[in-house]
Amino acid sequence: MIGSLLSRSLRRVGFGALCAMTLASTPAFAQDADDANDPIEPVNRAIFAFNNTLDRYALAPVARGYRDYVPDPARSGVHNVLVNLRSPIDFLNTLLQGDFDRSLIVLKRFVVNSTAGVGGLIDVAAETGDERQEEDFGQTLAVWGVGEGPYLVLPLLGPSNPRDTVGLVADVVSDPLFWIGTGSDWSASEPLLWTRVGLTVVDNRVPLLGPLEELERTSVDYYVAVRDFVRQRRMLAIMNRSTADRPEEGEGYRFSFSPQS
Amino acid sequence: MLYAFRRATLALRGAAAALVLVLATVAPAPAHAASTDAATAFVTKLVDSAINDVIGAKISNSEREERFRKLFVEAADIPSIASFVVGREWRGASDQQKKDFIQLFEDVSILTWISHLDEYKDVRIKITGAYADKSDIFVESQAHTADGKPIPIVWRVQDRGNGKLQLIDVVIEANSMLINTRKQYASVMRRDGGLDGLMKSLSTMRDDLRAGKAPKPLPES
Repeated sequence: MIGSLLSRSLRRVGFGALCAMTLASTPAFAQDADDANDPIEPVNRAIFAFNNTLDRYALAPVARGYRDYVPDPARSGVHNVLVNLRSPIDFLNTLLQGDFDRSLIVLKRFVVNSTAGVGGLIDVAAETGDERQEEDFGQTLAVWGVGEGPYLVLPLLGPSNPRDTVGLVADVVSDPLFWIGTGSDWSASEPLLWTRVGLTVVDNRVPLLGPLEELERTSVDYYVAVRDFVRQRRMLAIMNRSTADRPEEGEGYRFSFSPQS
Repeated sequence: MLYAFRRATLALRGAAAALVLVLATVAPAPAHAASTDAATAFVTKLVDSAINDVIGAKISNSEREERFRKLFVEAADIPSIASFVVGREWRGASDQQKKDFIQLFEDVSILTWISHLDEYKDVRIKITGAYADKSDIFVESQAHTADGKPIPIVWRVQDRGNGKLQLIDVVIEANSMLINTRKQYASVMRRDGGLDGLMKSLSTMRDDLRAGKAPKPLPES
């Protein structure tokens, strides 16, 4: 009910909200290895704790059940379909970033996987070397020179920042699938939309089950551990760098290290 | 956002190796350029020992802890690692504080890893390459786990001369454990009263790990 209301009003507000949020986006912040970039840390910690509680008692158990009781071919199929459905967003953002080579890859993947891949169930394109090009509007803004702004933990959605929050809203409203069925009497559109959202959340959570438990167990400050990982990962995504790529000397993990006495 | 988050945390899947890493080291001797081959052999041997002699061996838990401690202490210069993760506050610390912290850091690192060995049983690490800076060699590897894509793990090694190599850092999916740990510690020290506060948190963690309880993180501000 609330979901349906939310989706309806989101659709109505649409680009208006997007524009307003873009205007409100904050300027670039300097990056520093020891800079936490977290001026509202107490608020963020509270939301983080709230999200964690919700996760512990609701999302994680559901994800565990999904992982343990749904056989893998089905889960892979669902994952591939969800990824395929995101193609319009990947495509739009490679275009906006002027990265036309990668736009072509996205297009090719979408065509191949939607047909030979049986409606996206099988990622045939990846087998011939066309890997997924994961893009979103937050990355596009970063490429355009918009700074991330301070670290933000969003209720339900998790770690983010003003730039990526704007990006998220833009991704939602720029997704053609989000608008399907609006203004018509097609009653299945809302349930389908929410099925997709629900499956996406669970599909994203499954591969994190082990790693998050692990991280929580091994860190003395789980909040900071997550904040650091998310931020570094995001920077790599923006640069379209794989985590296996070698950084330049002095950058990333190739920082200079000399023992102190 | 959510999936960026997912990718970020995926990195942790290789945390088996990470643990070995948190133990990284450095000695005060000047660094020498070592061959990437020697560093590759060093990391290969370290990983093999961890898997065959510690994780896979059918021995008692106390024996396992003993063996892992030996491996860790030999491969890493824990004092240097410890001083790096403490950062600025290290300079103002007394000799006794430093000594206590180093011991605590070693214990927590070892116990954290030892207490959940089962989860690392199926991890296989394959060395894929290596490259060198002036004083460091980065040995690249892929950790293969039962599910999911292989995780890139980089082992940072320094040459102490006379063929002695030491592990300094373990980098999981481009995230330096040394830096991640330092940031966590900085945050705890800021909120809990400096090095003493950090040591209190770590020693609670050590007691919990010894008692078989999962350490409680500190989510509230």
